[in-house]
Amino acid sequence: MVILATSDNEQFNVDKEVAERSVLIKNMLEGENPIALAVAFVYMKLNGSFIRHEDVGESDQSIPLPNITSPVLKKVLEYCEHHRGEPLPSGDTDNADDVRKRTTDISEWDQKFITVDQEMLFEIILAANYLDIKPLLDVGCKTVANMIKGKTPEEIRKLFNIVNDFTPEEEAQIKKENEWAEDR
Amino acid sequence: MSNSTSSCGSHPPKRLPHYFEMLPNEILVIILSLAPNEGPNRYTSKYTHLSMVCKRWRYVIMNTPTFWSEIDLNCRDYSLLQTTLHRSKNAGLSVIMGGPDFPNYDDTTRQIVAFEKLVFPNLDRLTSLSLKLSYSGYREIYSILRRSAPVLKHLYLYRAVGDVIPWSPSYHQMEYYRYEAINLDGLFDGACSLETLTYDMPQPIPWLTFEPLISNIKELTLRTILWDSTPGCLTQSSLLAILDHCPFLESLELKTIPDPSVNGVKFISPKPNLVNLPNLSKLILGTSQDIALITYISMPKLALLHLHFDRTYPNLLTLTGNIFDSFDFSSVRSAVIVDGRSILAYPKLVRINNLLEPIGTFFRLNHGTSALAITSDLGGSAGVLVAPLLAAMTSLERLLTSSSLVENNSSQVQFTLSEIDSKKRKSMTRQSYLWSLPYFQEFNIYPRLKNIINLH
Repeated sequence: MVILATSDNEQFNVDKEVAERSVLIKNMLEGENPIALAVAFVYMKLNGSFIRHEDVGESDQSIPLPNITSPVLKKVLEYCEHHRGEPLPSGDTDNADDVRKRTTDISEWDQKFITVDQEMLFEIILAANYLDIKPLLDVGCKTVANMIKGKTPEEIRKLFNIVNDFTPEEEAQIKKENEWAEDR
Repeated sequence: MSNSTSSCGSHPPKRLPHYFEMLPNEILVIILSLAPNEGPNRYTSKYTHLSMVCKRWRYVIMNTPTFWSEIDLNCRDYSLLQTTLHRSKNAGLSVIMGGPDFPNYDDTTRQIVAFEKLVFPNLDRLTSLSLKLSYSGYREIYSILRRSAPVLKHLYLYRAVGDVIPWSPSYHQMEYYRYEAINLDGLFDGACSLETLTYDMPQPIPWLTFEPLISNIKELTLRTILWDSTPGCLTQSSLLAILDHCPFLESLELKTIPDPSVNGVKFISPKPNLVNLPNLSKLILGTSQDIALITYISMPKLALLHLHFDRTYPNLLTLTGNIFDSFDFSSVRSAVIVDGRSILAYPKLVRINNLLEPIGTFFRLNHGTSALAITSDLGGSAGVLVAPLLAAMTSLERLLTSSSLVENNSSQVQFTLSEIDSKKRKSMTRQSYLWSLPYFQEFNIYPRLKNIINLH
């Protein structure tokens, strides 16, 4: 078992196999991520506890996750539990070809899982990014992309409360450029 | 009424959370890359409209080279092409030349000039090239494609629209295609490593040109090609020999022009050694004559099998079990079987009974298949067919069947998609599609069938 500690001081006992869906945690447990270890070290020191290099991976020591709250970690662990045992994606697949080929299809279970409010959705994306869980990051990004697709800029702003920070002149210029391009 | 969303730096009256602020640019890029939009102008970046949302999105889009890496030389605005190319910085380039609206000789010349000026200096970052040209266009472009393209991964070669070939060409027509064959010697200086090759032209394949380029191939599509025993061109035997050296192949699609001199399935004699394709998951065979190929290939991971029986002999109904019996279907999860035979060719009952035999064999062997399209003309008897299929195949979830209709002197084929209740083994009809028979017979049906069975 692995103990994960959230920013709001909750602790989660998690099967090693489930926790290791996170590449970050996997590397920490294997002692292959000195930067993550250093972050954990500083965090634990600031919080009055202490972690030694050789302690990481021991069952009675917790791994601090200072960027993640307990409700978000609970959701992330639900995802990891459901997908436990599945092969992990290998290597860096973020080249231009793969981005172009990527579809926005999401499996049925993942769709239900990710049906959450906007705040939780973005928190899950950030947590997946921090913990390095690529399939979960994909699901989150695809969900947001599906919300964007087919909408006008104005509709997108409204949906995500994005402020239009263009000056009237800039907006007119951009519109003109795009209209010009559309005429070609 | 608030005008909070209107414009220009004005603050909204109620400050609602703006969660995109939390995301770093790297994640914003991933999200935007998944939300392209086909705007009114297909030559501008598919992300242009997203750049109008706010300054940050505009900055990210303008400064992400991969959003500008598609160059379509059909665009007549040279400055727009230049701008796109400039914004693509050092990203891999995907270039399209020619296409459905490919009009005339002048336009070919214009596109070739644009290629020489814009793309040729950037051949070292060309990752994908799609050409759809007339023969004269190909002759010109090949003359400048003799330099190395070290990162080219995807090559698509199509014959331009308008060069329509007859379904069963005569001997003289085939000789003409052979005469028209283009010399591809020295293409890319033989120095690129393709992952995808589509060759869709009615002529023999100058295979020696491609052979050094495809040892890492993953997706190989050969359509409307001619088998040719001329040295250096492709025969069934040489294809198998080449496949034997393509261990990474995941998808193989083959649709040759039926050879009028061959009556029946083209078996190779003597039978060649079994070719092992350990990663092949998708196999599409486009003519009856090529179905024999499945008996020469071992495909332990095959998941999608699409067989298209054309109007030549043999078709699905006359094909005996000797091919199906020798093939292991155990890994197949989705199959599409198309029979392009004329609707008036068979008496109804014979049609159904004969069809059941090979299909039934297929089902008994393959308990994992969840989706199947049977698009033979069943004369409105799809229901008769479905019952024994359901009994034989416990994992079937989706079944697409067809029946023919003749209305107002125009033949049409109706397709019905059924969702199968796995517990009650009951077929619940979901949706019907009505297509014209010529469309069906020309095999353009395939992408639509695939979409239906995959997407619904």
